[in-house]
Amino acid sequence: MGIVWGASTKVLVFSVVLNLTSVIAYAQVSDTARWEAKRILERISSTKVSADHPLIEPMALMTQKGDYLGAAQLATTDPNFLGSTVKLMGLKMSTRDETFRQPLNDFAAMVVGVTRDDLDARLLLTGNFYYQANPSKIPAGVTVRSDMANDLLKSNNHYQDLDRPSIDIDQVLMRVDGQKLLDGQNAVVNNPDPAGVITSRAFIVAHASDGTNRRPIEFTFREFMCVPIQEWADTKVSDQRIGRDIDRFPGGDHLKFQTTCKGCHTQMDSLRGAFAMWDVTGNRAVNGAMTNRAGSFDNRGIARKMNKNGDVYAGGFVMTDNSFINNSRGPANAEIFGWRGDVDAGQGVQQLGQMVANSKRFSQCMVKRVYDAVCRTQLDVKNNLPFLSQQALDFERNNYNIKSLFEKLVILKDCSGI
Amino acid sequence: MNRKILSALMLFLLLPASYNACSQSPFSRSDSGSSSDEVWTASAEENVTTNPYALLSAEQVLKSMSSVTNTPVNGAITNEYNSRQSSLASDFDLKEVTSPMLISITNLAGVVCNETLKIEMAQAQNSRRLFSSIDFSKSVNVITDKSYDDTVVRMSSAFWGRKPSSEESQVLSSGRGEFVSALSANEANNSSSSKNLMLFLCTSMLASFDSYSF
Repeated sequence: MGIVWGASTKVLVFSVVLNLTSVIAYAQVSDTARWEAKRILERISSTKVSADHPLIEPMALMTQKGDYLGAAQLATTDPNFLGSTVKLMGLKMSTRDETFRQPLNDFAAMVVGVTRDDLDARLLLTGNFYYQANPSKIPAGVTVRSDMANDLLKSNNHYQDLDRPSIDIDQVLMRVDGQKLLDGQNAVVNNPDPAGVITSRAFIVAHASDGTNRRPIEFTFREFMCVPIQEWADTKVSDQRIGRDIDRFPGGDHLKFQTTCKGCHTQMDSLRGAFAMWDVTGNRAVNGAMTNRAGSFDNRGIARKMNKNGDVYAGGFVMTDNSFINNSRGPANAEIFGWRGDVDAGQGVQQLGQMVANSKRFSQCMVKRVYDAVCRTQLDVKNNLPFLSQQALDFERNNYNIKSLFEKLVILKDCSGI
Repeated sequence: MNRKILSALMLFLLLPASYNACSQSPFSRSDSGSSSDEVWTASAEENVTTNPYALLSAEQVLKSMSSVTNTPVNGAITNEYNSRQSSLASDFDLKEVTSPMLISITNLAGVVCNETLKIEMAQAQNSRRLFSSIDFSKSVNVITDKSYDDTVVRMSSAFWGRKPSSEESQVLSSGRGEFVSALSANEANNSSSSKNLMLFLCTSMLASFDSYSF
């Protein structure tokens, strides 16, 4: 009489075989494979992990077989990848201080969201959406202030409340299409010129408050082209767009203007028109194209600050709309930026964002940002241009996917040492 | 805490910083014959240079301590972190190491370890992750060398991802001697002395250089 195999017997045998397989597999994983897995996981999650972290063993099985990319892909499932590594990378790019030491904001939340959702990184400069907490995913007993006007558009309350250990932002954030602003009567309206993170509250409040909106240009290029203003200053291009507030005879010396001041202003002033309709009032971003707009704008919707101090040099450029000219196409800068497409001129921040996002330099800069975040260093762009260019090409071929870029860079010998 | 304990604690903090790169890792690349240090070189081909060490920033220190001890961040830890974070590193650069930073890390490690001990002491002894060799119902006098060393190895593996070097083991052992000798007879016979010794050991190891650097 043969043995009758019941369902429970089959499950038991299967379970025993499975456990034996695991034990054999565990025994087969070398110390080197575990060391490599731990190194990759620590780099990706930017936290120390113990030897018994649950991801180490399955990752080690992959590194043992030489599947480092697979191990890195598994590592990006750790909540600290988005909740720490990517968040901190975004935070550092979001404000003037360029520091980690600040609470989550809408800029960093969008960087986390775009990475998590495998979106094209160019949407960071062109997307008409934002990320906020999905109320149904906020843990019970945790209060997150979520009033659109008071907690997202007038203050950072919402994101600050999300920045606590009991909340995994990678789980809680949800994409919401259509960026919003507040008009002069505190009504929530559509953002007339949405451009990803550069029209986020954090970025606009950091760079467009007071001043003359040259700083948003400086920092758009600093953060997304990885180039400080002094490196793309160019005295050899037209000064026709330089504003009236810039003295052409500083200290009575026109030569000083021609040889120094002009260099930066030919670049910033030609592009700052993109932000001509943006201002900050009461800690919130405002735009001159809105009906019932708040803030100080002329009847064309141009922020009055754009044409202030007009008596310094009355012959300077007067801003009458939000058009911009790309003066960074001169011989000195064309090679740096690697412009692509129609980039002679444009209108508004979204077109500026498109121009920047489609450049070769944007991709190279994203490689640097990710490399710095995951390899914990400060990669010098000038000295590593061939490396950055090659990685940038791969990044573009991979649909500008930030998460994949992390996974690819972390397994380089120079990054994690594996 | 008296001066003897403080000086022992400082010795604990400094030694792992001196020896961590030289010790045998449980994950060391022994089969390839190279140490983990040898990988930190610049590639001529790519002309990319990296730093041998980088600091964890404030938030990363907190998350790391929570991760390696398996201790969720609760109110006590959050309060300590909030009061210390301004002196923790704000970037990866080793130049950010300062005296206030070291003190803050030690304080934060102390609170995290205290919470870890609370969690593990509530568990059955043989199911504990770090303190399975310690009987907290008995005094420090009952802790054997073997159980102390086992706890050191467990914490070293969890916090540093490697075994302790012989130098580190020696320092940790002599630190125990100094700790015990600083106790009065009554204190030494009290069962709470076991917890205090483990708090001292855990804090020392969790606040060492290997715990807040990459």
